[in-house]
Amino acid sequence: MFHARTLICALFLAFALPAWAQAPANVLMIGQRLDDLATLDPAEVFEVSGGEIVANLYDRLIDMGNGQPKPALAESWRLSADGRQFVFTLRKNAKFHSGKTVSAEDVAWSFARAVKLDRGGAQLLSQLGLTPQNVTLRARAEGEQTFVLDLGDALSPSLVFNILSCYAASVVDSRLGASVEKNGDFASTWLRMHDGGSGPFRLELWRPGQGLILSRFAGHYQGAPAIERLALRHVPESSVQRLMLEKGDLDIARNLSPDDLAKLAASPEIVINRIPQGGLVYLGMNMKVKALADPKVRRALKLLIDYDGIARNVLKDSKTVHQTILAKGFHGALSETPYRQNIEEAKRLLAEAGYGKGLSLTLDVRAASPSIDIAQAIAADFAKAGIGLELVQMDNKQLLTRYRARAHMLTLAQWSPDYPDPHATIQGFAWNPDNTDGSPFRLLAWRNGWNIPELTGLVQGAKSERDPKSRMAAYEKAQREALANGPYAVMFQDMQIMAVRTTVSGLKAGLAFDSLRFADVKKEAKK
Amino acid sequence: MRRVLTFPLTLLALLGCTFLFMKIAPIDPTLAVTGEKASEAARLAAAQTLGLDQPWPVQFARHLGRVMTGDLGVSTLSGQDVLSDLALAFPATIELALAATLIGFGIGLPLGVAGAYWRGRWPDHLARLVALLGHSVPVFWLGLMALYIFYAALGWMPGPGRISFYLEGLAPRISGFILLDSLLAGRLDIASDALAHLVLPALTLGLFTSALFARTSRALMLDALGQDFILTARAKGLSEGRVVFGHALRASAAPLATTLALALCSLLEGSVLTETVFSWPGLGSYMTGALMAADMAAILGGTILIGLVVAGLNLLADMMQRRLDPRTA
Amino acid sequence: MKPLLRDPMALLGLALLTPLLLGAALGPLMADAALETHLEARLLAPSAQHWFGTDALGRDVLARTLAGAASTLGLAFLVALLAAPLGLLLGAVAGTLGSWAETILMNVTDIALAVPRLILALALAAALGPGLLNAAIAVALTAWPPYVRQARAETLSARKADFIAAARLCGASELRIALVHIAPLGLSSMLVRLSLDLAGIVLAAAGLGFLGLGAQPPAPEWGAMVAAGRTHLVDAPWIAGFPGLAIVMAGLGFSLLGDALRDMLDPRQERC
Repeated sequence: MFHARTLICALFLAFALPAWAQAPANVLMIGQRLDDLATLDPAEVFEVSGGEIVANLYDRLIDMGNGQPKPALAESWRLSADGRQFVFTLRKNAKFHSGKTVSAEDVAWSFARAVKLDRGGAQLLSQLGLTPQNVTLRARAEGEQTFVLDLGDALSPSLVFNILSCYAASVVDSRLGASVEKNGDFASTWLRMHDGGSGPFRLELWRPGQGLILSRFAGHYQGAPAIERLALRHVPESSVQRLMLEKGDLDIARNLSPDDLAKLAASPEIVINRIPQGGLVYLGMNMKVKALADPKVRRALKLLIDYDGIARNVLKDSKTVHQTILAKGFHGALSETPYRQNIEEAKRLLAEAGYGKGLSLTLDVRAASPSIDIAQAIAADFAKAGIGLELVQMDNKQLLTRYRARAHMLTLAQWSPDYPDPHATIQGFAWNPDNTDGSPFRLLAWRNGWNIPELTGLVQGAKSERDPKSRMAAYEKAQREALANGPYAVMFQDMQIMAVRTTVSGLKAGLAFDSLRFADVKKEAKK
Repeated sequence: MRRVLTFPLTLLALLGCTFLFMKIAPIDPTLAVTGEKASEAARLAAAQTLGLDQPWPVQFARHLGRVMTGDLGVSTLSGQDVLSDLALAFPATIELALAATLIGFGIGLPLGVAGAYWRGRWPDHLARLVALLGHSVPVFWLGLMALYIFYAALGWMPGPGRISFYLEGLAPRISGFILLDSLLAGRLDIASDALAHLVLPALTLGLFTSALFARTSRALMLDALGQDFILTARAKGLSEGRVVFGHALRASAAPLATTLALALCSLLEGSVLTETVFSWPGLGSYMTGALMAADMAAILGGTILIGLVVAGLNLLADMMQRRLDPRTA
Repeated sequence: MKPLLRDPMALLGLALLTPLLLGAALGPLMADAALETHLEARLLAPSAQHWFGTDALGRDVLARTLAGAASTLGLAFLVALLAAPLGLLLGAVAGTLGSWAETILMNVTDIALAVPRLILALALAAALGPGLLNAAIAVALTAWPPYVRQARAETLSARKADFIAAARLCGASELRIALVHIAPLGLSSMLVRLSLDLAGIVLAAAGLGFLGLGAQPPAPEWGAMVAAGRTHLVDAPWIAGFPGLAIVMAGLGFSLLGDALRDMLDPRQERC
């Protein structure tokens, strides 16, 4: 009895004490949804959250800044005259978290394991022509400090740099890897939960379903980061993230709903950062459907959508209006938005095309917010010109299956590029080498039946174009062609929205999801 | 004796149920091993190693064998052995359940005793009210409202979680009980942080248990106070305090101890909902998280563990009953 | 029925349950209002127009709470209909037949009693997939054992009664005696136990709903509504608050009514 009472008293005492401390200034608290995080192996990650964390645990040969390669683990590099060989010289002072010096052997081993493991990372590296058969020959160490990459075909250097700067090309500690390898798994079982990198932060603790703690790596070649610990906590609900941010239990909240963002907008302690991302929301129009094969009808549809209204009222500015196929922020992206809602003009075009009396269409849409909200708004817009639009709701897998079988009329789809080079997107929208039903290449142009042999050749050529100007010219042409005649009404560009307390500065983020870096973040003590 | 036999039978039934669930769930068990992108050949090979081509009785025998050796499979959600996941989560649940039992005992027992002693007067009504509320208020809702009032609105209590997350991992993990581990490491700051986080969920669950204790202790005391030996004690001129606490309460000790064990059982269940509300990283959160991701191995592993503990506690309660209460011997 | 209406606690219980039962009865009429979304009227605080406010899709929380009574109470009654008669029959059969049949039945019951309810329901719902009916099956599967125990105890004491001996003399089979003569005897205590149990069943059903295993959205169900209200707890506590209060009302109502029923039908047992 007595015992129980003392303990209860102790519990009640907790009421009186401000017992839980506020996060100190040397710890950065981040609240985000982390339930998709299944692996931290750079050769395996494909989800956004994993890519971001890997980018802070590992270094790559190079980083990208303003479209130009910047030294990271490689301090210099040179290209052969024919553009098929890249030679990187590694810096001498870079160390892994294990203490081992980063050598060219490590780079070669990292490439080989990523390609041979054949997961997410292999798909990206295959753009460089690397296959499980040739990777040890083509990506190899020549001495301690020299890493050589041979390409099968010449490629545009900026494409190569963009791929080498992304998470799939992270450099892993090969000695550590060898010691934890089991049954030829290229250490992937171990690396899934642990870190074998040289990045500014090391993985201190990961509790699946709860969060991760990263601590700074004092031996990083750029010097130790200012923040000692990064606590990334899984907080699934937007409202809880907002509450914790307001209370100072979080410094950064990542997944706030438009409602919660609106409530935070007035707070003097919080800044809301909106960082454009590479993803797009667009309406795909299947040209196998007779009405949609008519360019006048497609133009009419593009003129019926109330882009600004949907962005403001439905999306609450969580996405921005964007109408070309290349997202703003990519090198060479056109930012013009020629389409505004113009119902009279659309009616005239429809009448010219022979649909003055009306037209019935279906729209495949994912049964989830905000897709379904956007679709409803589009249906209301189309109705103004006598187009009856029936919404067909389904889950994402079913939608993709129909899309890939060209079984849709209209589809409300999302696009996100696999790697941060314009080629990834342009190829998706404007490259269709075989428009027959049996084609092995089923990217977006094929799915919407856009037969463009000439444009396909242009895009193909640009992939290996070494003159940046001509490459950009080709991409500009592709964008204009898609904007004017393509079977797409590109509408919105994704944004990464982060609510950050004003005590935090130095956060770096960019177009690619793995470009969020914490190394230079500083945090002042609470004012 | 029957109870002792029931224990292994219960376990067998539990394993039978989980095996059945695994079979009727529309989820391909090879997915957990090979991942989504594996080829058909790799999938078939995995099916063979898992023994999925064998007849059901053989599969069940293998399932038994695996569980007996502690192999509960791999969680698709965390990518870890279910057993090691459970080992991480279990202490958190025990910590919460013990705290809630203490609170429930501390509130419920005095209420029940007072209710029985002053039968029909206000302490009795109060005991009845607490018992009623504990029986009728859903813990998940109570927890949410407590969070809303004491964290969001008033700011008196820390938010969801077991400790402030940035303190995670600073005290070396020895027992898995954060309170204990942080005290062992001499980190009073972590211990008090953890204690503060414990208050709301433990009180929420504690109301539920206090109802159970108030109800049981009141009935037991009423029974005891009506017995002859109490009349004798009073006739001998013992003080009322001695009569109530020395005689009547002592006579009720055995069934109360049984209730205590049974209360822990129901707490394990209540914790599923409470943990979900408070993001308490125990078994309950683990299982609901697994539920959302259709992670069958994790769900069934959790079911087996909780079933094991509950069956064990039942057995213990029964044995205590026999040891402490001469009437049932 | 009269003594029941004189007990103030029972009256309070009835008063708590009446609006909910009315809601359950009128639920189908309210289905449209409960599902209608008005995006321009989202998250409105309680007012004269919306007594309980509106939720994240602008649906009226009052209409949803009343319509939700049909799901939650319906599930509870479904469970009661499945579990209690089954328990009664099994208990009567076990008590009448005796010997090995009794041993087996009571062993199975002991085992089922030892299995944690919500956890089993959770695992079962995970295997069968979420849905109102599956949730009912899951709760029912874990709710029957106490009825078996009670019915068996009653049977044991009734077995020696004269009219049973008479039936036996007339050549009635043991099974017939169990089903026709003994089972009805346990009916009144089954009802008492059931009314006490309903509160627990409502809570278990709402708990499954809260975990997303009951009725699927957009159908209104109290547990699921509380779960949905979590998202807006800070700005719109009424979304989670009112359906939660409805659960409390149902729980209190059944508890009070059950206590009163027990006092009336079974005065031997001590009330608490």
